[in-house]
Amino acid sequence: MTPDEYLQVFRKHLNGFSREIQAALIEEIGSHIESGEEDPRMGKDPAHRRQKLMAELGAPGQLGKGFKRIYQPGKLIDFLLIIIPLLINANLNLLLVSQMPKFPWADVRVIILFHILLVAMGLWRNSILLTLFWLPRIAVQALGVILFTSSYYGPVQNVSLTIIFAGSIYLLGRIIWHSRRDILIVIYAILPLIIGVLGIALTSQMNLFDYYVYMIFYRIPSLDLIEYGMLALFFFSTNREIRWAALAVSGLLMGSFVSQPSFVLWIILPLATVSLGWWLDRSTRRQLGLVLQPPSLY
Amino acid sequence: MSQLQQLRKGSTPLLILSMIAKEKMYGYQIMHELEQRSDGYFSMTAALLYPALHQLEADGLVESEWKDCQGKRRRKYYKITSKGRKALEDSQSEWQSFLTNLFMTLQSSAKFQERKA
Repeated sequence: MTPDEYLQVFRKHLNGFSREIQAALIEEIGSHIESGEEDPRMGKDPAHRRQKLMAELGAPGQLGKGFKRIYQPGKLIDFLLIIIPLLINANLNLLLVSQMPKFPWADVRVIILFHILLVAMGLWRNSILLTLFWLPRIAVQALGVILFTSSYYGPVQNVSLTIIFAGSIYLLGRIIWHSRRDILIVIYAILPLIIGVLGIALTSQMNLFDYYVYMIFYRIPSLDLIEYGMLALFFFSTNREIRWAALAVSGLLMGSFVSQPSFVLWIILPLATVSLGWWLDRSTRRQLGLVLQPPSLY
Repeated sequence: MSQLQQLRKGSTPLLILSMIAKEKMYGYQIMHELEQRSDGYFSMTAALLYPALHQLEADGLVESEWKDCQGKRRRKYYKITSKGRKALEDSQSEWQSFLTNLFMTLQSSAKFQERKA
């Protein structure tokens, strides 16, 4: 195996890594090979030198596996920390409504606190996917409460909710800034925010066409399962195009879950956002010559 | 995996930290320096070395920086952090104590068997 072939095979074993990490690893191993080729201790005969160098490197698959353990730890746990709370959420809402006469504090604030806990877990686990899943949801929920029910809660709680909203937007912005080179992750982070904010902005409007579209979505019985399936594809697929498609379908479903306002926008907006992101991502990767080696972030 | 192999693998972080304790080094340099200092007893493949280096970096025991080389690929240099130095010292004293006790026990067992014979 020549050094170039080694790097090519090694690159294949890095599928699923972020583009940045992938490029850095290739560069580091490439630099190792270069050092070996120039090292007089490796012998004078080029064929023998190469053979020795390849033996020193070890199998590319083994090398990739070693890195995989470091850069993709506990993805399944992160996924479960999204799916299980999603499953609980529906029942939690019902439980909270039933408990409200007895415990007036048991409302959306409990859900926000629950989601803050999940964000904290995401940060603690250093999981960008987990953190970015719940963070925009907290921002949207807090914004909704501030805008629609602020008179009910009083100044102290409104200030707290404003701090939560501002904090989540700040944190979201920081993470997006750090991940700005991976457009897939940027869109994954901002899509729920865009849809949620739009949902809030258009809450009082609904026309007949919206109603019909809403009913189409509403009548699909296993919509939740489709959403979880899309999330699973986004999390575990190493094919970037599949991840983009999963994100687009997820966006559509997200739009369909936010009730009432203009569904036309809810369909157009996720598709337009994801399509724009996909196009930008594809052109960037083509510039970097990475189209044939689709990397997927985190 | 034999016990000796396991022991060798387990000592990888310690060996790496000891290599970069005095000066920063890049991966290839660490690999060959280790081989040289141990007279060829400790040799590791890149498949073992680099993931171990990255794990040490993730744990905050080493830090890295890229350096440009004229007309060549950049090199990634690793240097030990204060946390890494502390871990190295702790680990060295643990190994020292383990090996001292191991030899002491082995020697006394050998003497006991000689006397018995």
